[in-house]
Amino acid sequence: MLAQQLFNALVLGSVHALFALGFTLTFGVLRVINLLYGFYVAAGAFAALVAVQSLGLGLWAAGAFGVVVAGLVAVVCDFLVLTPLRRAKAPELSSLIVTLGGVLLMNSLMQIVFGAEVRRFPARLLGQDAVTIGPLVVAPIQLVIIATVFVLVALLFWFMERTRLGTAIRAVAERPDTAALMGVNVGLVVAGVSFLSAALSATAGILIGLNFNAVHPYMGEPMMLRGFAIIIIGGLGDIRGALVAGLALGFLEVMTAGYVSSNLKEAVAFTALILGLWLRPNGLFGRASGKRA
Amino acid sequence: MTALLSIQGLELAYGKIAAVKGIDLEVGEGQVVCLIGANGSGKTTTLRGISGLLKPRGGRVVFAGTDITGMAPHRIARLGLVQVPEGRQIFATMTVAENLRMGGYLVEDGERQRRLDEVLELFPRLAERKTQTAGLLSGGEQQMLAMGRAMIAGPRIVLLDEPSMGLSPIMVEQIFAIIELLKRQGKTILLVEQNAQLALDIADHAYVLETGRIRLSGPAAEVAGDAAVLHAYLGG
Repeated sequence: MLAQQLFNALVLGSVHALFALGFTLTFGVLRVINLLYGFYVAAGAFAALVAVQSLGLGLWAAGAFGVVVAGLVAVVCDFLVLTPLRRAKAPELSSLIVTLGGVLLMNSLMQIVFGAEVRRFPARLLGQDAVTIGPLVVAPIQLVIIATVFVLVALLFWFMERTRLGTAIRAVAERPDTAALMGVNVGLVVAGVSFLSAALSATAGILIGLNFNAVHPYMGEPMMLRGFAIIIIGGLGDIRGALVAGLALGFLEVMTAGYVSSNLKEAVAFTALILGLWLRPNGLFGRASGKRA
Repeated sequence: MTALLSIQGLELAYGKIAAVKGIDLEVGEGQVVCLIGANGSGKTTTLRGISGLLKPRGGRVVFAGTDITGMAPHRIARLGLVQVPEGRQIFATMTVAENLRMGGYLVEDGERQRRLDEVLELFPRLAERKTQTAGLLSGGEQQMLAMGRAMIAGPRIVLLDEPSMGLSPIMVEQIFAIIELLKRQGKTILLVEQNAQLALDIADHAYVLETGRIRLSGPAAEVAGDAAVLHAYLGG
């Protein structure tokens, strides 16, 4: 029982962490609170669904398609909505309000186009039969989730820490003007980060859609609530903190649902947020030592 | 001989407030030129106008035969014009080595490593602290880092903004010894300084800025001899 709960927690926590990584990246580099970020969960999942149903693509191709579509939508949205705010050096609250409007608009558009009912990926996409491994009952999608998240997180860390472009992204996050003086095209980096973060959000959306076998226009909303809790607990802009806090929140949610009551699951994120702010107001790894994106 | 950097009638403003009101300035290849003046006279604004961080309202900036007026800063950097900004502006969350590599963002790997080794040789203090977080360095070390970071770019001209600001006298001496060394290596430098005496000692040519206009210019030794300068800017 406990082993199964821990395994489920790992699956859920991985998705939370993946989602939060993109969210914290957006905040850290673009210096905006982007509520549109939650929309890319549904955008990616629907794009992948369309790719499966209308284009007849397989799991991986459809996933890649969904991720790219959401990324491109994000580049356009950020350019139209956020770049003017950033240029005017508007306070963070304005980005919050503007993207709140943006996400309401986009969610409604999704509902008009796709309808509000819950849709499903066809069963043929994955072998749906769970297998028993020792004490664990494991669905194939759970293994896909863990493997995908593990590979993407490793790639993201390698990219941010070891590559020229990743270092440039961190430089832009800290001092955009100075980065420009070193020859970094700040506008291009900003667009790249918009794409990258939305791609992470969309990947999380596709994995959630597959895991719970449900895709609907508002599937990003509950993720945003968790996302806020995770990036605040992890430290705003801190990618390592988002990873740890995301996994921890998944663990807490599964344990609460399993041993206390599943009704309390939603309350976990906020209890953790309050405790986190109380005990470590600068984030898990503090402000000075954290690797901020 | 035409100048490496040539500025004609440059006008810069923050919103409606004019900060630089039409100045002419030239820096020849291999020259050290200083731009001195009191606080708020427009020195830093002038550098920001040259490097592209502030779009000029009027006038022309020509660098190495290219008109760079209003060009984006990253494109100007690509031409070999590098600014060491006021207040060092190091990347505090990165290590010393990462900061230096960022300076060589446009330089290919092998060459960048070679220049990195050169800079670490020039600044042993930075070599000792290579893997340290840059935000933990002292002010003087941060200034060294900012200068080293600029040198890795292999610039054709370096714009140095207030390198002595906020440093102890011993540290200032060390920083100026490095500028002296760069001068002997034939590097082209445009130096902005509040400490006029230090700047005039090291420069070939000097411009004195007063509330956005060039008040006086000429060979540094002559400008230093001008009693008005001594009185107004050196507190003599």
